[in-house]
Amino acid sequence: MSIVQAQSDQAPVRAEKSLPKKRKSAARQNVKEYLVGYLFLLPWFIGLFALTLGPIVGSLYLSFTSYDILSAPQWIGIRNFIDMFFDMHFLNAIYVTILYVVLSVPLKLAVALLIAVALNRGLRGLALYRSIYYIPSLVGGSVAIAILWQQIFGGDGIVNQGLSLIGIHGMGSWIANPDTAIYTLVILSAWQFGSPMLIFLAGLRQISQEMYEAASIDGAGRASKFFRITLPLLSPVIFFNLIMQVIAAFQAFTPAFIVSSGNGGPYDSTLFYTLYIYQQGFGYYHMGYASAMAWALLMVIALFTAISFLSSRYWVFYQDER
Amino acid sequence: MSIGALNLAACSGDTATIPTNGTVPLQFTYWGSTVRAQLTNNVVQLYQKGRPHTQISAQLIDFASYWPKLATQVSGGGAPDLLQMDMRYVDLYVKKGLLLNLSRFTPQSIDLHDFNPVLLSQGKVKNTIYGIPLGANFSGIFYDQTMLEKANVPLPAQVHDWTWDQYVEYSLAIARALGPGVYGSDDASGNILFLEIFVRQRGKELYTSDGRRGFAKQDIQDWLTYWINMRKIGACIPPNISGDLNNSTNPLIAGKVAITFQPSNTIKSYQSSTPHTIGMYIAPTTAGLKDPGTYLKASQLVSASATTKYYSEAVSFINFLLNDTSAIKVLGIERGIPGSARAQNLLKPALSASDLTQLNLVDQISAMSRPKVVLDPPGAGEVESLLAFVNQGLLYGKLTIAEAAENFVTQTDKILERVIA
Amino acid sequence: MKLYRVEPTPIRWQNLLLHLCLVAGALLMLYPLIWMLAASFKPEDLILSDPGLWPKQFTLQNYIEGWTALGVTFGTFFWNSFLVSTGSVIGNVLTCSMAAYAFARLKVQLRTFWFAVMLCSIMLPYHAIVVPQFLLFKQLGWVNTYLPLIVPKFLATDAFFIFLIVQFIRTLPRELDEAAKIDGCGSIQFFWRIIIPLILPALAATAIFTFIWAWSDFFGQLIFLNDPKIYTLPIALRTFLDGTGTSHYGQLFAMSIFSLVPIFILFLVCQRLLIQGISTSGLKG
Repeated sequence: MSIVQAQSDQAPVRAEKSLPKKRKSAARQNVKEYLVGYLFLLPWFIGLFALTLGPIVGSLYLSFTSYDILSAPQWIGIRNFIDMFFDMHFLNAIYVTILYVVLSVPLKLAVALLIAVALNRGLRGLALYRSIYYIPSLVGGSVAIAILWQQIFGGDGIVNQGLSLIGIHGMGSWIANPDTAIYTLVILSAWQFGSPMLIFLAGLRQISQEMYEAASIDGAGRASKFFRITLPLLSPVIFFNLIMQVIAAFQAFTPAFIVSSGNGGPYDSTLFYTLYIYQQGFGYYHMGYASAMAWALLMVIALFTAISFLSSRYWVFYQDER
Repeated sequence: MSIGALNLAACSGDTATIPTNGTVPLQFTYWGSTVRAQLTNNVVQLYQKGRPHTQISAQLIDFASYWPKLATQVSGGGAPDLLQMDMRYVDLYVKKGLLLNLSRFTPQSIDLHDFNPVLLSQGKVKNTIYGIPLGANFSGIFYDQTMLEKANVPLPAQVHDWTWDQYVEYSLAIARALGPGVYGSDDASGNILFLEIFVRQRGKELYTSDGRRGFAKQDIQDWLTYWINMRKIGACIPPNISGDLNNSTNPLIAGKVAITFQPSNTIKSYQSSTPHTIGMYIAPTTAGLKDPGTYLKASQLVSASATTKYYSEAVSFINFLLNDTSAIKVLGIERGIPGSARAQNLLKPALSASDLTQLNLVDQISAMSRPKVVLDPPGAGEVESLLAFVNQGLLYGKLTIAEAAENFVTQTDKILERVIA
Repeated sequence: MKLYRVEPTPIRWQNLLLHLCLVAGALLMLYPLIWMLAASFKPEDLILSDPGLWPKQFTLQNYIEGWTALGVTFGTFFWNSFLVSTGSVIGNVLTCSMAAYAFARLKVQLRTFWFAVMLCSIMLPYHAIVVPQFLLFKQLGWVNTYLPLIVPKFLATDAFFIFLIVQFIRTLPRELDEAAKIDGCGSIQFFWRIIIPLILPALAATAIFTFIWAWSDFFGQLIFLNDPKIYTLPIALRTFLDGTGTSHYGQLFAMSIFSLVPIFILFLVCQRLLIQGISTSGLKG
């Protein structure tokens, strides 16, 4: 800290002495810095303008059209956006998705953080545990999941077998019941906590041990260390995981697609928003309508993200803040 | 229009320009199981043996992904030269001018002289052929012979000699005999193919020729009421079990029911999924009505793209699939019973007992049923999902019968109207 | 590079309890996989009609038949998936770290604006842009090649990783930059010599996730690849499920198990990199 302060104290003094020369080379330095910045961003810029923006603008255009993919789009203005609010399935999809986000994200993050902290303690067999806890995230995208999930949550599945062991009988199938089907998907999501767990682990490993040692010397207990050191220093990573998991949860598709065979059933109880987009766009060839729904989703996610970023000022602590 | 131009070229006997290195590349997309993949690859190899200048790339895609991929390919102007077509989509693709007019090539390039005319009509729009059925099937009944013997409940000897009312009795008897956890019948209430049979028995079709609803609210109510009764008396599988198995396996395979509802040409794969013996039947009829409801369907069609550069090679391959002796033998009845009488005779000696049953049933239906002449309009897929949805509401007590029927009828109208616009 | 010494845990019973919980948890994680493994050794007609965990009959048929079920062998599909995934990893690690560095540390006009644009690119569901994207790639003539799948990775289109790496770079204190400047280290050198080694965990995470996502990306690969010879594993696996006839579950499970093995191995190999912490005592040096 002191070095920085010393430098900034000196700079104005020096500037006064040889102003024109300093300003010119400072200006050149500035330009150089900007150039380097753009150089590093060049691949991303090319990708953005050549590959990403085009399709995104294209899909925005499509949302104002009636487009069946097989023939040219026809402009219909904002009719898609109006139709959405009279569409019973659309409203069901919103409800199901919000429920899913609200339930699965906190659960997943909490489990991921808990396990990451537990695994960070340097136990024996750490690498093995880490790998095992990541396996669900590998298996989860597999089409075999539909059958596996039925084996677990079905009427004769092991959950019910386990429940009958402790005396609870006749629960019926969890996935064939519209009142409980969504919760099995929440559990499926939480089961795949491997990705945020890995990121938490990486973040935990970047926290300097010296902080903990110093705190130990000062007599801090484990809980205090966790809340005063770990959480604040981990907050950029927590923030990242929160944003990313919420975005991913809003856009969740594969679990519902595979477990419900693409129909969002029973009775729309697993009709995730992007599943409905897929149904409308690729199932029934209402691609214009599907695009409109996609953009509505983007608005919601963008709003959530903007709010998160604004609020992050109060709870996320970056070490690179001047 | 490009189709017009192609027709002219076809008339004059031109072949499309063959690239200078002499190879004609054709793309043939199809859906099916890995069994079909092997048969198709064999047939393609057979074809290419005698024709070294044709390179066919046969591309297998699973059924659910087939349509998104095909639509996307079409959007980019790159539809495959040859493609399997499904009855649900034919009307839509023809309306958009995407399929090649095959009538122009018959009879000189495609031999259809002994092809079952009822079956052939399935691929026709306004009396023009846009796709030729690769096989015939029908919406049928599968039963587990082993379970029926155990229950000591034989099904009627005359295969189409039972009514829906009798079906209730049979199912109940089986359920009672085989004990708790096993039921007589699968639940077809949400299955539009069997609703269709039910409606057709009343002399109607699901859709009219101008793409509107062809059934009445009362028809739906009667259908749904029938199945509510079946569930109530325990003759058919209850919702929490059928919902369980719906997405991954069939209740018949899982041993929960003795009778289920499936397309006829899937019998072989059902048989291979269980050690029990599986038999096939035709759906029950409605007492007092003469129309059997069941009808002969094209299991899938083979079509060519309207924009293909190599239409004469494409047409030649289609003809090969349908009429070449070795091709017929390779493909067998995996895609359904072939439409040409010669093909059927060629295959008969090698058919197993259950395959012969399938063949005989197909012939019976062809003879006795009223052909379906209205193609499914573009909204039919949505209506199918709507039935399942509304039925689920009923199953889980979220809707009353009246609400379900009303909902189904109103939403169907909305769906069909939207597509016509 | 120094590995962290972790906190010693003196109380043994606490450790034991933790181990117990972790083992129970591990079984929960593994049960579906174990079931799938067991099912892959059952003959097809018993998989669903007899769903118990232990196979009553044991067969290798699913593995043997599944391998060649599609004409082209699964060996080819493995290799294809490997190509696509490896290409994606290289592209992502390289370009996303560059972009992240620019966003986190370098001077760029309207940085916040571009950062927001970058984030917005993740928020639109893939299905909505796939058709316009297909049209674009069709124009470029890239359909039926791996180009639509790999080239975007070299142009930092996976904003997820840019954001991830930004967050990691931002945990590094600014004193590093100042110290480097004093030493006369330019921005580019600073990036290679100092930033990259310090964010290796983030890069390892990027590599692992990119590989796994590319390995299991179904829809994108379905849309852009036509010829079965260049099919990748997800497409090939999906063909075992045929809605109109049989699904060959046995072969599906067998080949799924096969396809999991490489990513699991990759994960085992890379996770050490992920976890190797770097001591920021480099700051003092």
